[in-house]
Amino acid sequence: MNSSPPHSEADRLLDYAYGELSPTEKDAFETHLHGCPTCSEELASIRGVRRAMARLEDEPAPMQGWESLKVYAEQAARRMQAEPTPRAGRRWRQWLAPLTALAAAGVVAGVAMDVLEQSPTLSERRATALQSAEPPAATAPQSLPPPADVMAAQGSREEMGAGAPKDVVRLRKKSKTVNDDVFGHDVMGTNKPATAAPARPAREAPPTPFVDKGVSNAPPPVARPAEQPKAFDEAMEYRAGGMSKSSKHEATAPAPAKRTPAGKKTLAERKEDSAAEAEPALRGSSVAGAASEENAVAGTRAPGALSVAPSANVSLQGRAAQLRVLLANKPQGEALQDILSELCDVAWELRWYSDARGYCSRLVEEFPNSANARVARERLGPPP
Amino acid sequence: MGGLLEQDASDEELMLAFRAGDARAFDALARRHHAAIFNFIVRFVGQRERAQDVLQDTWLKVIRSASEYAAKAKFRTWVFTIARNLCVDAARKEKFRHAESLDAPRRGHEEGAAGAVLGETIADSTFDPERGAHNVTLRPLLLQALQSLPEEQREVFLLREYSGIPFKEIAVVTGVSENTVKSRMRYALEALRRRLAELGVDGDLLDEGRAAG
Repeated sequence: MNSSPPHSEADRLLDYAYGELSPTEKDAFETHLHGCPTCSEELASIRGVRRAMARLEDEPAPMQGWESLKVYAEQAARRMQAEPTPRAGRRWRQWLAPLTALAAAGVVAGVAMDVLEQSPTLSERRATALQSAEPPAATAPQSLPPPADVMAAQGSREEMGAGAPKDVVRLRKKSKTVNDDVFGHDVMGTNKPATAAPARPAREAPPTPFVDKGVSNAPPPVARPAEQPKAFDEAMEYRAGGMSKSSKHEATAPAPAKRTPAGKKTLAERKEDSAAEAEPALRGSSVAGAASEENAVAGTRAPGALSVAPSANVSLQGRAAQLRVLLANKPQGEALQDILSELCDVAWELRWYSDARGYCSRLVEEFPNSANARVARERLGPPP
Repeated sequence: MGGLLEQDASDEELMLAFRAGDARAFDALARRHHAAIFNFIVRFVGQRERAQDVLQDTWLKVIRSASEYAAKAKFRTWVFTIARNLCVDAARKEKFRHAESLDAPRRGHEEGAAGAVLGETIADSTFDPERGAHNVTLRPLLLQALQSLPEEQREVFLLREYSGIPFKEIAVVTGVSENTVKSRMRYALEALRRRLAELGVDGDLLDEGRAAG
């Protein structure tokens, strides 16, 4: 392999060595091979390595937890049978709510601005909101409901109220007390000092057209059943049964075991709109992460405040705040990727381009081969 | 689903049957690919215990994502993409843990597995005395050679050599171009050739292995 053939030949050599050439191509290459000592030598070398590595026998695959996995599959099959319609393009629809809400914001922006101008306190809050991601509407009276289109777009999350599994409902009940934290200074102050948040320009150049992220590393999960069947918990033992030392180490993280899946559910909920799913306890998360989960659920239920438009904007800014809290908890792996990906999206939507670039860049650095990174790269490409 | 569970049912048919609500289709599908996916994972992450976790995560993700499975997508490509991404995450986590635990023995934490280098861990975890004297000699060396590859080369080599996935599909699984895949494959083969020579895995040892096999 010392004197490698040219790339085109080398590619064909690989195809030949691995039987990927068509019969015609194969014949043609064999003709070339007879007259090319370089390729012949290279081929012999490849075959030598393959022969050696072929001596590595397969490991017997573990079957532990198989029955539990089957139970989980049966439950998923029943769910899919009950809800057969594929939910393609949900990520696109995910952005319908904030975009529609932003359009609505234009209608009532004048009213909102007037109210803010008349109130010194609110004006101050507006100024700080730009840095702390706190929406000015957080302190406004809670009166007006969102318009029908916003409701429709956000309905996915609201639908969970009726059909949501018990754990989500439980979190929502708790969330009443943490709503203020989600949109208030305390949480953000604790996890991310106001000085750490860069001041955002009042107006920046318009963003490049939003790019739908399409598929992520893996497609979003299936719909969550209305009731969590008992067998599902058993299925989750599948995962626990095969838990490695490292996983156990994670499981001993400060978060209570029951809350462990919460951090991931938040992300799943975001990805799939209404289709929250009974996701197993795969990875650990911190108490703060669990609290943020509650906050996240609470955020979706936060009543409209000053007006419809700020309310919708609050949702996006509030989400940014939640994500920052989650990020501050130093998530790993897929959770980190999901958070960075959403922060990249949300900051971009909010026109916090400086932040967006930071999150997108980190996403590309940390997960260069992911589909999310490809989207982030596109976003980073043409500067707005 | 009647005859669809027969041997000749394609992966895609089985997956669609599962998506339509037939859990037996998933069972058939998983049994068909379980060993291949596990072996890809264990050779990627280099440790059986961790590979079991990743394997379970892979199947759970397949189940959870079944409703999103597109009929035009090849199931094998799809499931290996899931497995590969989980492997990448697991490897990254492991690097992080390893970096954190570098000083652990000196700080008085338990020594042994935490301090073992990757190659040693693999050799220990996969050692099976019942597989014959040949494996005792050769297997750890082959695993060591595999683990010496950079991750992006190793995954391409594993997918092509052991999982039998064509280069074009590997490009989809790994999210890079086919040219990049082939380039990585060339580097992997060259690196393996050198490493095997360094480890003394050539003529004699292989002949010995063939005799033992």
